Amino acid sequence: MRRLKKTLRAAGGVALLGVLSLGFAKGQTAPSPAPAPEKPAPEKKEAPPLCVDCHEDEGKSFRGNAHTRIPGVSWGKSNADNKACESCHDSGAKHMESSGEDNSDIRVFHGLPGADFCLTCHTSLSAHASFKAGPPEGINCLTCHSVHKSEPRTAHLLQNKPTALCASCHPPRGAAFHDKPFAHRLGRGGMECTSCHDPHGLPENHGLRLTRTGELPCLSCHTEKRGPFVFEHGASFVGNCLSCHEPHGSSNHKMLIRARVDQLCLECHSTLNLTTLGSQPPATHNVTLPRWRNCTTCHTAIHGSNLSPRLFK
Amino acid sequence: MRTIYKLLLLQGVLLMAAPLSGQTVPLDVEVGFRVVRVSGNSDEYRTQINERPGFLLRNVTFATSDFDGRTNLVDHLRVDGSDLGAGPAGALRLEAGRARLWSLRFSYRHADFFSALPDFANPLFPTVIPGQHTIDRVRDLYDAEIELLPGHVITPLIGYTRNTYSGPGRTTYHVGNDEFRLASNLDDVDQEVRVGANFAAGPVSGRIVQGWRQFRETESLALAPGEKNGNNPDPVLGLPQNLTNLNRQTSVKTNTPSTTALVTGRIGPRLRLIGSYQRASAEADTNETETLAGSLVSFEISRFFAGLTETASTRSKATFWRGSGRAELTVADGVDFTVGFARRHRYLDGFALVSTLYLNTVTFAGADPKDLLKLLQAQNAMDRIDNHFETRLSAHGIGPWSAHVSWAETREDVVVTPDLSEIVVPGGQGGDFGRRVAEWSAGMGFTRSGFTFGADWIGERANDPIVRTDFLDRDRYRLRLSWTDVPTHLRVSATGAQIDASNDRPGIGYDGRIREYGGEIELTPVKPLRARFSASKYQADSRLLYRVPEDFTTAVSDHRERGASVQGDVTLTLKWFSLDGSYGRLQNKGSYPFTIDRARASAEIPVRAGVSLIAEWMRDKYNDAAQDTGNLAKFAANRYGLYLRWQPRATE
Repeated sequence: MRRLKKTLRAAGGVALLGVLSLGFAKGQTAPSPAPAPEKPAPEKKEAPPLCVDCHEDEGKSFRGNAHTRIPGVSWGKSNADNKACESCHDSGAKHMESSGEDNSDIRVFHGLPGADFCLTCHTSLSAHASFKAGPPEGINCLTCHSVHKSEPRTAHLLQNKPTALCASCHPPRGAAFHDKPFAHRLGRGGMECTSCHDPHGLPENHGLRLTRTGELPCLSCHTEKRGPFVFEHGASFVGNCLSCHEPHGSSNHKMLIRARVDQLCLECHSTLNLTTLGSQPPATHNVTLPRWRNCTTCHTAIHGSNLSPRLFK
Repeated sequence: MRTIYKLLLLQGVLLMAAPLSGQTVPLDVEVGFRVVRVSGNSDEYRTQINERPGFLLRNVTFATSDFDGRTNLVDHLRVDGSDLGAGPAGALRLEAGRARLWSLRFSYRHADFFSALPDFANPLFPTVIPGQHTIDRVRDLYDAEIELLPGHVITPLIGYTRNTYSGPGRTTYHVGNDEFRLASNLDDVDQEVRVGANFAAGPVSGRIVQGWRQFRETESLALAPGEKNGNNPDPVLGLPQNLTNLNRQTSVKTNTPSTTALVTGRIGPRLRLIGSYQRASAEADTNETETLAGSLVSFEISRFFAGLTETASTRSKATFWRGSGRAELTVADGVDFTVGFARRHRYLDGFALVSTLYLNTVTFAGADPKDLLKLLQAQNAMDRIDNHFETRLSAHGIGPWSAHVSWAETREDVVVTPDLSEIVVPGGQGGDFGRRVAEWSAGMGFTRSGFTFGADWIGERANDPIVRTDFLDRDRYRLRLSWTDVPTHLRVSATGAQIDASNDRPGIGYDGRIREYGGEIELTPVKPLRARFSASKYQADSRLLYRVPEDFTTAVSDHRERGASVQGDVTLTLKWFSLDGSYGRLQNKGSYPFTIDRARASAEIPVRAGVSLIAEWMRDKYNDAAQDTGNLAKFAANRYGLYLRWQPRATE
């Protein structure tokens, strides 16, 4: 019944959205202008050539582009002037005079020098500042971003949907998210590779977006695992979430790195050598019996507890 | 947030934007209904996929900076939304502002968390052991940040983040000598308010932010219906274990002020210096009350007992700070040298006072029926310092070539001081631990005429492990090749990666290898047709010695993965319709064998200018029948969707 109500509410919302949207669309339809009496057209001064006269597709795609907000630049139906183009490509007088044959005064953006030019604006405070620490050889801004032909359903002028874009260079990671049974829902509902990784490269921690308090990005969402706990699990203090979980997609339940939980725990909790951190379970733990195979049946507060030294609750 | 409110909020934003956007509406909306049919284990389906039937706003995109001079308040607005409605995960994002005046970023994410696994932790075990921990919870995340006067010398900012996580679940509780299933109801709220400023004055720029985070958790637990007999069917010392009732209330309050600062300075055109500092101090207070009644045995107090009443009050503190400095020098055009140092420190201590009153206790000899009070006072501490130093030389754009070499070293010092109450079997619980890891890496790349080649290697050498799964040697290799022929739209790529990790210390014997390699081919034989095919293999082997608890013999923890995956998709885009189909299969023959088949087909048919209908079918079939678990985890799920796509811009 609760679900039905929820569904009906959602249906109502969608219907309202549709009705309002149609009204919105109707309101946007331009009224047909009344036919004006024919008059001889006044002689106009020949307008200077515009970049978009030749580069029509680029001009169309530029509407809504963030680069139209560069100070001094304007871009609209009535003022598609050359300033926006010139701010990146230079004036290109020779290029125009030669009808596009001469590219000597046009700045093009191939290779890393192109990226360097982007960084003249996109630098200072943002993560772009660490670009030189991050992406490997042969990669520059235009590997992922397209100023003129970005994927319309993505922000940041990306060439493709973010997950697909990352997978084009990291196919095993992309395949793991898609193929493996236990994985974060990338590309479906707001989570992307960039939710955890900074693609522009950060000097430490493999480009991970650490929280503002220095934790792995896992804890940005899973805040209940953050603690601090009176009885902290050593694995999360000495190691981190990745000590037990594979966030890029796992064949094992709960994205664990082992299929059997007892083996996962006993790999650390063993005193075969006495110089490492990790205690030995008492002999009552008979792992040949199913009751003892899942350590978390008793040690439920495995991420840390405030109440039980043995992480029972 | 309820679906209707989300949709209305979205609609409101779009309507507000409508008069500003001129006659062109840069809008793309896809909305419809999804039907779900699952055969087999629906809990496994929900744990893995959880796409639910119902209305779905699959996509909304609205972006414009064309306000036609009608307002001076806004010069850009962008709204992106996806998969809002039936779930299991959806998002909404909004960006608006005016250059050099203000900017707003808002995001919302929703996720349904469901887990109910039939054979968790016991794969390949002859008897089916149902998973006992289940959750059916919802997480909502909101984040908003406003910057005032962006691009000026000082840019103040205010931000707010809210993360809620709530809903029912099932867990287990070990009490007496049995485990009982409890029904849980959790309600978490994590919020952060932050204020700060960006600054940029000549060659110096930076950011300083002060945040206050507050986490509140309340959880109620009670004995689940029908679960009074617990997991253990056998009597202990002649007494069957059972519970007649249990109630527990827990509340946690955590406050965490935090400071972050970043400063960047340029000295001349070739040198950049970056410094950063972070500090956070978290304090958590927990209160708990628990009452239970039943017939139980405790070896801890060596008595039978008929119930208990427990109260607990605990306090834990964690301080964290990190400071770093870094210099980036452009040695020559295309040649960069960087050097950096970072120091991290985390200290954690906790104090707990737990008072447990055992009711109507009887010794194993049958004497002294009385209540027994047990007090636990525990004091724990952990301290960790990491020092990280790194240097890197990279060269790019040397003709088609580029290369880098780097060296880094991390020193970890950990001190663990456990409370005596934690120690069950002596050894391994505390002490001073140190570890030093040196990391070398080298890589090179070649790019010319659509051909790209890249190779890199990272080698790590450590002196000591802190935990047994720490490596002493680890090498990672990666190779990437691709070729793109623009005129024929042909792209061929291949990648391979291998990670070898080992620790040959006596008693550990860790040996791990992961290999993954694959290839992809994408072609557009004729303009409206695009096809892609990929195949990849994933192999993982890990072996590590451990001591078997019940008999103290030495055994090997052996985990294997043998995954082979093929995938293909075809897209046909014509003026009057488009078709999209894909199929993928993953077979894993490792420690946890299974196969997954995934198929998808969709057709988009324009019905009028700017409006089209999309019909979609998706199928996922999961089969772990190779296990001896009675096929409990097998399912096949079909989803059918019908969506309306509206793109007014397409009418241009």
